[in-house]
Amino acid sequence: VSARDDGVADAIRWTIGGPARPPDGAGDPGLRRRLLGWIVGLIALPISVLPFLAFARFDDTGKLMSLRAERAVKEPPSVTLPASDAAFYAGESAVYGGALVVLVYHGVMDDADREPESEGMVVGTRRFGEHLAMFEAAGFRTVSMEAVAAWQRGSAELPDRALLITFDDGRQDAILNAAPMLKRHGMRATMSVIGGAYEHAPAYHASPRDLRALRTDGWSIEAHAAESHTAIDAGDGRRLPYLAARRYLPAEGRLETLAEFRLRVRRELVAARDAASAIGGGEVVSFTWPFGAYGADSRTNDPALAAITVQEARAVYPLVFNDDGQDGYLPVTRDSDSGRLQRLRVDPTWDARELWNRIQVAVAAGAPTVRDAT
Amino acid sequence: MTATVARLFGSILWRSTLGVYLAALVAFVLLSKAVYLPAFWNDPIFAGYGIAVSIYLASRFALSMLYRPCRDDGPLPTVTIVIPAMNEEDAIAGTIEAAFAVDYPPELLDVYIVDDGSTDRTWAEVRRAAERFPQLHALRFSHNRGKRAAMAAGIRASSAEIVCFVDSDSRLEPDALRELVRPFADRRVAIATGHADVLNRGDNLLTRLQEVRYYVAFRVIKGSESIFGAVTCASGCFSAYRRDLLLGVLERWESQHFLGREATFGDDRALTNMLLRTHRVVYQSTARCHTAVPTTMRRFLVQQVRWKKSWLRESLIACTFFYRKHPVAAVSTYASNIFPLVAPIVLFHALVLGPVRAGISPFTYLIGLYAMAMAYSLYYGWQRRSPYWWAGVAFVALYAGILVWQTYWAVLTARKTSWGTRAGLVDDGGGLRIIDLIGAPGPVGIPIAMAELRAA
Repeated sequence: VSARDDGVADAIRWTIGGPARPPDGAGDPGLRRRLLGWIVGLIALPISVLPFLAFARFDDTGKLMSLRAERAVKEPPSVTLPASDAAFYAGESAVYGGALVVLVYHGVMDDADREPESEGMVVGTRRFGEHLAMFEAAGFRTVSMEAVAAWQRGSAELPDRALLITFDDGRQDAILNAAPMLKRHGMRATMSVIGGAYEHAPAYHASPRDLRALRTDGWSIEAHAAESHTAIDAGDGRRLPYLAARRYLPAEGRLETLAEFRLRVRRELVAARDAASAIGGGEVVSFTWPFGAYGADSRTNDPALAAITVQEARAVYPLVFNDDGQDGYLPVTRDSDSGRLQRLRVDPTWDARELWNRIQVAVAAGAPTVRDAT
Repeated sequence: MTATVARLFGSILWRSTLGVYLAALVAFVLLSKAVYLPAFWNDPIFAGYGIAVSIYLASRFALSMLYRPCRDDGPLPTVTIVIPAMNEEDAIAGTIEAAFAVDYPPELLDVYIVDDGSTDRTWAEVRRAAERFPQLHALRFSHNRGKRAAMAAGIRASSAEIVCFVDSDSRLEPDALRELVRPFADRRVAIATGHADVLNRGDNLLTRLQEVRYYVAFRVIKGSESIFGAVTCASGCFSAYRRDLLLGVLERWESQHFLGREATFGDDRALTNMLLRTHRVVYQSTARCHTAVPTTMRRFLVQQVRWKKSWLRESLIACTFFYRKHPVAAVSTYASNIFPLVAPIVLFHALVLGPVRAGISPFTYLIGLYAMAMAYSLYYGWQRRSPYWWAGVAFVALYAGILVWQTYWAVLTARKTSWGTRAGLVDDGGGLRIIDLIGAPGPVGIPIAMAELRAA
């Protein structure tokens, strides 16, 4: 093996009888090569930013981190409706009493404005702003979960045009976008949180401290899950929501019994309440099923489970919400079963008018008292 | 004049651009670390690793900014430059020439070439050079005995206060030797190691990558270690040793065994460890040399495995005494010995296990790695005003893609001790003839004084 293989010989050549200090690169790099080096070095600078931009644009964590940075210096957008729309909502909205419209959102992110995903979990920031402006123009009154519980107990009344806005999962983007936007309209909402989620994925979930701070703006912090925001082995090759299926026990080669299922559900419901109470620092009065699944739809391996889950949930929580009956959605009334309260899932593709239409149809069909605005 | 102003302006513009970018990056890394801190107890091992590595790297860069080279201006010591050579017929004449081109009083300097049993025309080249340089001394092994034996022969033959090793593929700046001996004014200093840049950095992409790596390894890592007089590796390409201390450990060094095999590489690290127990080892950034690095991927990888193996052996040894050093040096050295062993697991966890088993996007981990690589690269471009800053990113990609995994390969093949880049393998043969070519005077012929020596 000669030194030439090491690339040494070429490098050595200039040394003999020459200067000990090498020019940039072995041999004389020449002006053209140096110029090329600088051009590449300069072009590489903007190119090197691209991976960071891609991360901020396409990765969930990246999107949330860039949102966090953006919100540190800039408020979320403020949306105002065209005067004609505002006048329309003010004039045409029904005034309903004795009923509560319950909406559920998950995430609120800018990019969902560009490509709203039908049945998606994330609504665009501007679209959410349109919804809020519509609520205000149409005269909806947002209520707290505590007020709903008191109303259901029969110890208080709800205002006319009562609206309960709920968020599931305790997402960071809801805190960063939705909370300040709601505050601007003087509105309140409810956040249903997952115990331990922040410690598991802190970029994605809001911190307990931020969640607790929401309560000063009139928010309620309620229960969504402890460990039940997961899927379990249903024994038939499917992985089904934690609270909606009997779990397969591989060590014993069988499904858990109904008694075992009941015990597991009860423990989870209590754990979820305790977790939400620890996070929010207040009383927890409601529960929302993870994935909206409690055994009543096809995501189960035993049709008998829904009765058990609802019974257990009712025992732990005064108010239990599901996402059933989206097509014929009806508002909650005092006669509603407190273990089966329905929410309207707000689809990211709905604009303000579409949402308004659906609410109007629902209250016309389900509210005890309805009259025109004027 | 105009050119100077333009260059100054360009330099300021370049450095401020990179400086702003670097500051933004550091802010990004700090922010993401802060965001992820709450997840610590959820995954203490991997989160802890990430935090520890970040603290380690940040502390290295911060400490290196406190580093100042020694400015002592005392009387110069006598120095012997020892150059071990093995089958380097093309390079050796240039090496000798460069050694004598060093700016050092001739009466205080001599040069020893030790030909480690070359089978090519190396020895003939040495003889030719001896006609031109009467102060050249040369030793020759009848057959290849390994670099360590060659170095030891040079140490024994010398009578100077300081012995300086220069690799046959390294070139010194004219004032490099004067600069390198400055730290020896402090009696506690046993070894001073110089700064090495990549001589053939313009050859190809691979040598560009190594240039960035060398810069960080020397200016940042050795610089920060030097503050505590605890440089863990006095580089083989250009280092000076106090000869009386060398003689104390020479036999132990020559006969070093590891896992039942004779230690045949990592000579520099082994020697450093032996003297570091009791003395200070420092880095002298103003003593600059330029060293040639592998130009092909295959040779580069073979060299890296060899480095890994000696790193493995000497890191274990360093662990036995580093707790006696300055606490900061001790903590960072123990940490830096653990990181490379854990790194492959962490990488596998982040890029394979996480995405496959838990559906976690590897993007988050990769962007963190990329941010680190960018910080490292921009620091280099900023310090050196180099347009080739991006080579640092390429180096980290190479590191994460291949070099990290070599650690386990090195562990598995730790007992295999062939050199890889050198043709000669280790030979533990008995009676070795060393031909001593001492002080060839006059222009006519080369009177050769022969000395028969036996291997210890």
